Amino acid sequence: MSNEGLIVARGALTRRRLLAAGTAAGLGAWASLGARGARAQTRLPDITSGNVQPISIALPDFAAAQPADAEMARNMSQVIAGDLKRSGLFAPIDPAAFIEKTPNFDAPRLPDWKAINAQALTTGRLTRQADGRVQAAFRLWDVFAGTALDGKQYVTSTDNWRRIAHIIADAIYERLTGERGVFATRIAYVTKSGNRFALNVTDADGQGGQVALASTDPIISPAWSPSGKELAYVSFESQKATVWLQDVASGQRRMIANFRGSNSAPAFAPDGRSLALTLSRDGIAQLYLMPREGGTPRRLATSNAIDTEPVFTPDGRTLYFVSDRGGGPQIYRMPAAGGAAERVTFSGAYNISPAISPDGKWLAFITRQGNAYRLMVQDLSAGGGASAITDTQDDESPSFAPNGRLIVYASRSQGRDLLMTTTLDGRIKTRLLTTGADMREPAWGPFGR
Amino acid sequence: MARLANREADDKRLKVGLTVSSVFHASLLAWGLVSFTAKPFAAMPVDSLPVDIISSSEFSQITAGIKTAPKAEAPKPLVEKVADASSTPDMLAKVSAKPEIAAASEKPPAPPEPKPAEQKPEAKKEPEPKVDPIAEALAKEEARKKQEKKLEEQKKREEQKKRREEAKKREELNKQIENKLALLDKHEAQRHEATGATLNPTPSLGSPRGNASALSMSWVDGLRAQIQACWSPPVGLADAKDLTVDMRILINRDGSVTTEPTVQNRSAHPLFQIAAETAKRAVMRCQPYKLPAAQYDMWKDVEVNFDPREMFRG
Repeated sequence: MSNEGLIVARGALTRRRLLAAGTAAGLGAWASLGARGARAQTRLPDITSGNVQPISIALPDFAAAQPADAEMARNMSQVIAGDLKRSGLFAPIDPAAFIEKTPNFDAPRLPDWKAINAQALTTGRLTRQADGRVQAAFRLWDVFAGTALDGKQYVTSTDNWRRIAHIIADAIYERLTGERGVFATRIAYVTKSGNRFALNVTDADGQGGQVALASTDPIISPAWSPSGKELAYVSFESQKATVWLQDVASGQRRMIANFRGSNSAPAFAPDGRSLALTLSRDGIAQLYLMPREGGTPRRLATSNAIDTEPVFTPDGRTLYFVSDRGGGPQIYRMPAAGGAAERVTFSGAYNISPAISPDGKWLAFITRQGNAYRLMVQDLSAGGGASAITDTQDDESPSFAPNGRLIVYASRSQGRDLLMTTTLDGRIKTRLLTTGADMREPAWGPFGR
Repeated sequence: MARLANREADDKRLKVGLTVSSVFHASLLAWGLVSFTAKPFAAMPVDSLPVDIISSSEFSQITAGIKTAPKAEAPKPLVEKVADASSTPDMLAKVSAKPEIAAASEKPPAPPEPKPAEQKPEAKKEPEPKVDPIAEALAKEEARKKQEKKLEEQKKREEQKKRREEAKKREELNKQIENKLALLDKHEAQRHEATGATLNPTPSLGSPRGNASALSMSWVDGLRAQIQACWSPPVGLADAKDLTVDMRILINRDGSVTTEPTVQNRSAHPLFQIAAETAKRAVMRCQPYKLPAAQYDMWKDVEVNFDPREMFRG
């Protein structure tokens, strides 16, 4: 009797306790199963189409720590807004619609920006350092998610503010689209005003430019070196076509091709060490390769026709060029080391001015349709046909942006020559700011300077 | 004493048995917990269409319609371009416009020819005589372009008319079903109506299906369409595969989204973060969503895959 009681009471693992433990474990298992709620209630069918719209972005003026810098801050904001708008992928919101006029740099009132349907917001700040240099900082906000996406700061001299604004625009562009921005790159082009010609180098928005060469004789075919430090071009100052090489920063220049006959159409090889040229020294315009320093050119191919406008593919292995060996001007390609050429363009009887995209996938060129010269784009990988992406009459000289997303070309409108940029599908076209003079022969510079 | 010992032994055996049994059952439950949730059973969403079984006499009564029913506004289709109210299509004018067009098409070849010819001899003269033939040619070009534009607009209006008629037919059918429903469901209809004054948010170029008023009343399609209208993936995603984003969305009763939707898949692709952010933004922007209150339990917790591959083709 007492022994029984002893046995029952002593053991830690009594029957009752065991039963209780087992039930608890079981209930616990069931409870946690319910709480986790494994998968969603319903799966909708895949969403495969959307509504591509520019991203609505609010760009309030940068806040200047010192009133003297207020104007620079405003100018920077305008440059950034202009860049983003011209890309066609952003829609800056009219500042008149802002609810919070001067947002706090680190803590803007996001509900105010959500109310005006801004998907992204940039807050910026401009301060002066002790050494006189200016510090520009920005934050990029995802308004609907309520988080900061990016933030950077830059220190530079006062007169470099425009470049910093472009760099900030690039950062915003990249963070929201995943693409590398081209706002901080440069474009070279020729302006003609009366009988004065000038080779200009400006920012990609057409502003902030310098004149690389002023002349009373025509300048044509500017070509950037892969590093962006030099420009090759053709000048008629010696009363014949000669090729010159100029350092962009210092302006120092030298003639590198002055052979008998005409010297034209320079194009750098991707390694930057040599140039392809068109020389007519042997009687007829043919393609040659020449070291950058100058010297003896090496003939690349022999044909009985005019071969000109050479352009390298980014891997440096293939050379595209224009030849009329088939009767009319068409675009051909051949191995850069030399070899047989094959024809590339088959639409129409007149195709010139080839340009290759930086990823090597696209060929842009000018075709003649009836009496109109139009810009065409051809997918080189698909081996398919080309499609016209402009419907204007007088397009020439296409050149790809270094991110491969845009093409700059010369066009004609209302009697004026101007520069246009277009996306590869032709959907978004913008006009580069004009100076009033005729602009032609554009060449888009590479990334970096 | 022997009986006590027996009982001891029995108790011990019982204890052991109980121990083993409890441990085994607990472990079985634990295993069940782990294994059964690893492979969830995904229910296929089924389009639910309410059905009512009626006699033939009832059917004829219903199709006769209710004369005293309030006139339901016909849902206008989404259009590509909102036509100006002032310009009404004049069918008679179209016929007489034909001879004009034939004449205009003969003109274009003429101006470009005299243009280059005129430019050469006049290049040496003063600039003034040069302007006139070019201005004329430009004016002719403009006139021809205007004609072409008019033709296009008329074509568009005809297409719109066709669409309106088709939509009307569908609306008749809709009315009949609605009347049937009126016998069953006293709740207010929660359909998202389309009006002709709203521009079609889905560009028809690239979309295999137009956004015409569909017969299906499934809230699944409604929610999907609402999210779709706000999804604007950046062009950079066009070339990329492996950029599908699987999103889970929790929705409140009033149609607003509870918290930021969660991304359920992973990808090593460098643009995946951008793709995920764009999808999240699409979901957050277009709230509150219009959904039938009666089926809240079905749509309070949904998941959907965003797949951009079809979008940028062509």
